[in-house]
Amino acid sequence: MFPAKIDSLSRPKTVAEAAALIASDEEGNVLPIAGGMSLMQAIKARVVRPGAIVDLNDIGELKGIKETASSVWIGAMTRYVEVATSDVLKSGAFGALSDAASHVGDRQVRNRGTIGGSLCWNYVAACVPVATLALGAEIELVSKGASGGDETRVVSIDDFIVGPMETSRRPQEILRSVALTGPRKHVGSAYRKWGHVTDSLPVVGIGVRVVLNDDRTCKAARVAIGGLSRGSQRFYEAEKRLLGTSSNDPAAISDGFRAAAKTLEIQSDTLASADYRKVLIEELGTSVVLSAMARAEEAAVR
Amino acid sequence: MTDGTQVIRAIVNGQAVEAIAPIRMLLVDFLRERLQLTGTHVGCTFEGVCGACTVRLDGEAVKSCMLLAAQIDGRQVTTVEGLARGEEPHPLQKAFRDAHALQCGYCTPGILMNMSEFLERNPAPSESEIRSALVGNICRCTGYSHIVEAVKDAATNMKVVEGRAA
Repeated sequence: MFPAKIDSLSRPKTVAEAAALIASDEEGNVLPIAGGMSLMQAIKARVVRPGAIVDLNDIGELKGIKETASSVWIGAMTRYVEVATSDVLKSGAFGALSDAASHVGDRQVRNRGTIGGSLCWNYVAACVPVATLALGAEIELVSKGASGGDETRVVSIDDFIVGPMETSRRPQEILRSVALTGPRKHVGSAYRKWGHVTDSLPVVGIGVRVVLNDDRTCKAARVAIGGLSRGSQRFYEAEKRLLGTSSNDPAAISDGFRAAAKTLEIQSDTLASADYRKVLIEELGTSVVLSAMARAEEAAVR
Repeated sequence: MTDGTQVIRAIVNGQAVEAIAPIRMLLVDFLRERLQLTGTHVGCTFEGVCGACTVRLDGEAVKSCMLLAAQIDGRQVTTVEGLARGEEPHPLQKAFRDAHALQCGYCTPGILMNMSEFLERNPAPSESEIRSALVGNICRCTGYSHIVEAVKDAATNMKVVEGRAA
């Protein structure tokens, strides 16, 4: 398995340069590549046949994790290993992303694969889109504007994720960053998945962000799920049923997930039957909510 | 260049190399065919799941079947051929020999390259950390027990050597 002919490979040093290279393409012949952990497989299988590749790996301004008073900024080309080991993201509020990045593929993949690449590819069972959906991140996209300068567009992750392997990124846009906002006190998040092999693409993956009241009951929740045929998606019914629950009553949380699963379209396939997926949703959902609540309780003490 | 080839200049195992290669050429093929460094193996027909082609790119363990050779232009690559210091094998290589951590040996170069970086980041790993770190390397002979043992031994030996040097 090796790629079809590729005419050129460019390695721009800035986002502006990369955006210009992509904008010059009128036939959808040019593809930006991030870590390449998914795209290279598609290129080698010749599912995708780019004439030209714009390699984003040399663009320093797309890398890094920065904390400001109100948010955490993560460059799109930040690798899983950096997300997994970042002290900033280990805090309870953003733990879901660190959980997801820590168990993507294997350490060679985590050394190379990027958070932005995963979001743009948005594979049906990918971990990062689910964790990012649970966190309610903001996605910043850049393209070359008509006047020649950069044009920036910020969309919510809910508007960015459209369907399996589909996002609202336009072909000439580059994902610049993911911003995690919102308060951190009384907030906790977590992500967990189950797959056939350690750290593999999951059969089901669930991300949760909870905000707790002073009495440790759930005030607000965002829940996202991956591995279903509709791809990464919000799990609204589970969000509703989590309100008012607490870690003192895990049975209520698992009852909520069991009932909420009835609102999802759940497929049977070679990986697992629909019934088995429902069991996974209940088990994973409960454990991931309890982790998120524990982190939120810790965050309340701090 | 738009004729589908590119001149690649890189540092491979400490030596400057220069070669023309098609842009579609994978790094693993470039190493094996252009540079005759056949220690880097192809196990899974390039699906990126077996880890036999693991090399170190600017120090980091990556799978060389998941990169185009043109992407290493200007960078440093270390393959298993560059792991030993002259005639002196790397502590991991010694430990693998002593613990009988290989049978057919096909997966070994990839495991050595991955573990050499892993031990730099985590010089005193637990058994479960070693097993997690080996997820990206498939071995169908050993059952991993001796590999895990060898990695543990190498970590201990590397610390002892470091202690003496200090």
